[in-house]
Amino acid sequence: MVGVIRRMNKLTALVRIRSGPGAAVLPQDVTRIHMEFGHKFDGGHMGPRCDEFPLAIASCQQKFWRDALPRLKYWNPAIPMVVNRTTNQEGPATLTLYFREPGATLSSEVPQPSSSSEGFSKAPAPAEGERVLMIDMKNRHSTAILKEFMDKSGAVAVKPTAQDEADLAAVEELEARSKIDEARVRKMNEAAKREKQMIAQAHSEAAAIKAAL
Amino acid sequence: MASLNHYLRAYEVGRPPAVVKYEVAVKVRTNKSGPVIRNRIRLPFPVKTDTRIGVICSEDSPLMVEAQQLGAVAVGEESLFESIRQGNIPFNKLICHVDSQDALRKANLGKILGPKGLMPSQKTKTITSDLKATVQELIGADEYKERAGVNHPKALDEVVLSSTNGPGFSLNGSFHPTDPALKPEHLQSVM
Repeated sequence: MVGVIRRMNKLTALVRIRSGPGAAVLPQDVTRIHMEFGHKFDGGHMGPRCDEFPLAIASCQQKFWRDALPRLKYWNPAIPMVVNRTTNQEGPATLTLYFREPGATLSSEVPQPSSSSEGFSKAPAPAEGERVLMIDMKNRHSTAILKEFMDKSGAVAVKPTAQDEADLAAVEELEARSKIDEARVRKMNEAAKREKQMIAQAHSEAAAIKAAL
Repeated sequence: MASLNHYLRAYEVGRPPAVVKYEVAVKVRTNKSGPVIRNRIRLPFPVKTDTRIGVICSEDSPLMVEAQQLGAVAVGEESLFESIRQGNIPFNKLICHVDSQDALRKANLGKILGPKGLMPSQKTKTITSDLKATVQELIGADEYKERAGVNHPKALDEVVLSSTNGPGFSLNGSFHPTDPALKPEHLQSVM
């Protein structure tokens, strides 16, 4: 195996998907989840993607989908979660939860569209014995959406284990260290670049003086 | 394998299935001193036009005339060896007629020709009895040498599965979910 430590770090970083906002187990009666929103964040579509820090909008795009949904998927692997991204920024931004009606048994033949980035996977109509619950995501931030989602779906947040907490601390420490290293290396590279530039300038000046003589 | 699939499906949630790419990287351990494939390939159009051919054949024989007619830039036996020893090498391909093989061996030119890759040998098909065919082949063809193409795996080192948005996972060859509640059918539905 090559780069054992580097790989170990990558495996440790998997804790990010096991714990954090969105790490929750959905109740048995949730059958599927459907999301629909625009490709870009203007027109109120920052919701599915953005945190509540307006300054950091560009950096935290795709927040709910990128962060919370993978965690939900990890803890609920059998529940289809379909994302339908559209090019229509004026269109709706919705999250649809499908519940099984108490006592109803769903046919396994219910057609299930797969995710689409071109708006082809509209939210399907509820099957027989299914009810839907819609959350409007327009003009809202990911934390607010997640809160409403947790309340309305009855999801139970997963508490990180002691191991997970240790892993998370290790990952955060590594990230902090990598930030320091990044700054150090950038400084070094810039110094080297500046020196090279100065040498080139000196050379060209010397050549100009020689030519003048 | 199961927990790996579990993670990868979480990383790929909401991505159109046709866009997601799963990659398997297989690392095999091979002998470093593996065999090398070496041959010539003749393409419809010659890739190199600067071919200068030297021919080793007995002097004052019909072969010599034939070689000159074929366009060889240097022809001969002892005279050619002498010019090679003096560093006068006007050719970049050298072929040898089978009858002159012994003379070539006695001339001890391996030290000069070897490093240039010019030493005629049976293996590179540059010792021949049919000058015409070999010259024609040399003019239109190009040589290739392939070391990596020969695979003699000593052992399978590792298999890594990765996906477009997820990290790479090293496979251990078994299907053991770390989570006992996880069933294979949980990982088969639409993502």
